[in-house]
This record gives sequence, C-alpha cells and structure tokens, in this order.
Amino acid sequence: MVDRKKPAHGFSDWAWQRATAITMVIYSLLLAVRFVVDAPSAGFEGWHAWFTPLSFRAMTLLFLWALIYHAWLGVKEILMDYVHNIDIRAKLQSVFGLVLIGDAVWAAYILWSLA
Amino acid sequence: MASQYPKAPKRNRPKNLNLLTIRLPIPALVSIMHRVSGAFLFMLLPLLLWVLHQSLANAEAYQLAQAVLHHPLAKLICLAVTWAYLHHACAGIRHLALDAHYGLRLNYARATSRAVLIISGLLTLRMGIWLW
Ligand code: HEM
Ligand code: HEM
Repeated sequence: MVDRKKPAHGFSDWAWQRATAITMVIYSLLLAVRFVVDAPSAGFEGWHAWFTPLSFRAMTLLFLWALIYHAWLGVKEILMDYVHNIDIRAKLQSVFGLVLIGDAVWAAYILWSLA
Repeated sequence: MASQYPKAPKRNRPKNLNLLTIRLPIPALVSIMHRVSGAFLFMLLPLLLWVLHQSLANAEAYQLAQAVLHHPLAKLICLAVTWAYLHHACAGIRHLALDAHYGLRLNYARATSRAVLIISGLLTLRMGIWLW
C-alpha cells in the first residue's frame, strides 16, 4: 500500500484531520445559531421544512462527510497505536472502512431522498 | 535452573501502577478523554444516522423516532453523545491551538485543559436541562 516513491502520506492525513475538524466546528456553530434564530416549528412538518433548503442540506452533507473522513483518519490512528499485528490491523481497518463508506452513502441518501 | 551468571543488581526504582493513586495530570486526562470520546462517537454514528433518517423519512417514522427518543435510556445516550461531542470538539480546538504553538507553556496547558472540562461540562448541562 505504501508507495515509497512518494513522501509518506502522514502529512496529508494530519492536514485532512485538521481541515475536517475545522469544517465541523464551523458547521456546529452555524447550526447552533440557526437553532436560536430560526428554530424548526414543532412536529414532522416543521422539521422536514427545516431541512428543505438546498443550501442547508448541502452543508449538512458536507459536515457528515467531513465527520466520516475525520473518523476514518482517527480510527486508523487508534488502530495503529493499539493493534500491532499487521494482519489483524488490516482486517479491522477494512471492516471499519466499509462501515464508514456505508455511513457516507447512507448520509447522502437521507439528505437527497427528502427532496 | 540457577543462572551461572552474576545476578543483575537489584534496582529499587519507584514503581506506581496503582490506578487509584496515580495522579493523572489534567492535560493527560483531557488527552485520553479526547481519544475515548472520538472512538465512542465513531461507534454511535450509525445510531445518529438512524435517528436522522427516521425523523426525516415520513410522519410515522418521525413519530417512531420521537417515541424512542422519549425513553429515559435514549435521553441518557443522547446526553452521553452530546458530552462526548462537546468534549471532543473543545479538546480538539485546544489541540489545534497547541499545533499552532499557542498555549504550550505548562501553566497555560493546565488552564486550558481545565477550561475544556468546564466549558464542555457546562454546555452538556445546558443540553441536559433542555432535554429533560
Ligand atoms: C467539532 C468537531 C471535532 C473537532 C474539532 C475534532 C478535532 C480533532 C483533532 C484536532 C484530532 C487530532 C488529534 C491528534 O492528532 O492527536 C482529532 C482526532 C480524532 N477525532 Fe476528532 N474532532 C471533531 C469531531 C469528531 C467526531 C464527530 C468524531 C467521531 C465520529 C471524531 C473522531 C476522532 C477520532 C477517532 C480521533 C483520533 C483520536 C486519537 O488519535 O487519539 N472527531 N479530532
Ligand atoms: C444527528 C443527530 C440527531 C438528529 C438527526 C436528531 C433528531 C431529532 C428529532 C427529529 C427529534 C424530534 C424533534 C421534535 O420533537 O420536534 C429529536 C428529539 C430529541 N432529540 Fe435528537 N437528534 C439528534 C441528536 C440528538 C442528540 C445529540 C441529542 C442529545 C442532546 C438528542 C436528543 C433528543 C431528545 C431527547 C429528543 C426528544 C425531545 C422531546 O422529548 O421532545 N438528539 N431529535
């Protein structure tokens, strides 16, 4: 997997972990602000309507994808620290990776299917 | 089988592995909690997506999600997720500041660790009041 002709990809993992973290902080603040100034009205109708604007759904999806990629980098980091057997680590990474890919598709489906 | 080599000199280094008496420095506590909360959030992510999915799919699914969320146990899990997220976010922001070489001095590092615990605790309390 490691391409030795390129520099180690540790830097970009590190940078992506931070970029996704900042994305999540910004979204969380915007979400909190929107909850205060433009609270969803009670019940399904109000909640659904709150999610209708395309801009909000796009931002939410961006947030969820950032979260998922961030979690992938974090989980890899944790496995690297605690699971020293390469085979077991590779298997665990595959399982968690598949779960996260599933989460990413699911997130897109949730936000798209309610158009 | 007795060794024919001279014994290594007996070393009397202090050893302290008693978890109850180890004093974990507060920045270390915040650091390990950051890892634990990140792993916890990762594990609960499918649950959060399920709630989001149910709540937006249609009115019946919404009511089901709402009924589930009204259960005290569900509220407790929500509160745990909230705390994990807020702690992880606050500690993460602190981590980014350290990366940028802000707050590296020991007294600042301690003060910001305490601030992370207090701020995320207060925000969680606020959410808890809203939940109940
Ligand atoms: C506002 C939101 C968040 C911020 C600011 C944030 C920030 C960070 C930062 C800066 C790191 C790097 C720590 C290091 O290099 O040692 C990190 C690690 C991590 N994050 Fe987040 N994060 C956020 C949300 C999340 C979420 C929602 C999850 C889970 C789904 C998550 C899971 C993880 C994991 C598993 C790690 C690895 C922990 C470790 O190596 O000890 N984070 N986070
Ligand atoms: C992706 C994450 C989440 C989604 C999509 C979500 C969605 C919802 C929805 C649609 C409702 C019904 C709203 C209404 O009554 O009008 C609800 C209620 C609730 N949410 Fe969440 N939620 C999420 C995360 C959380 C978190 C982190 C907490 C913890 C603070 C939480 C705690 C609750 C509780 C306890 C209720 C029931 C409120 C009541 O008794 O009326 N949820 N949630």
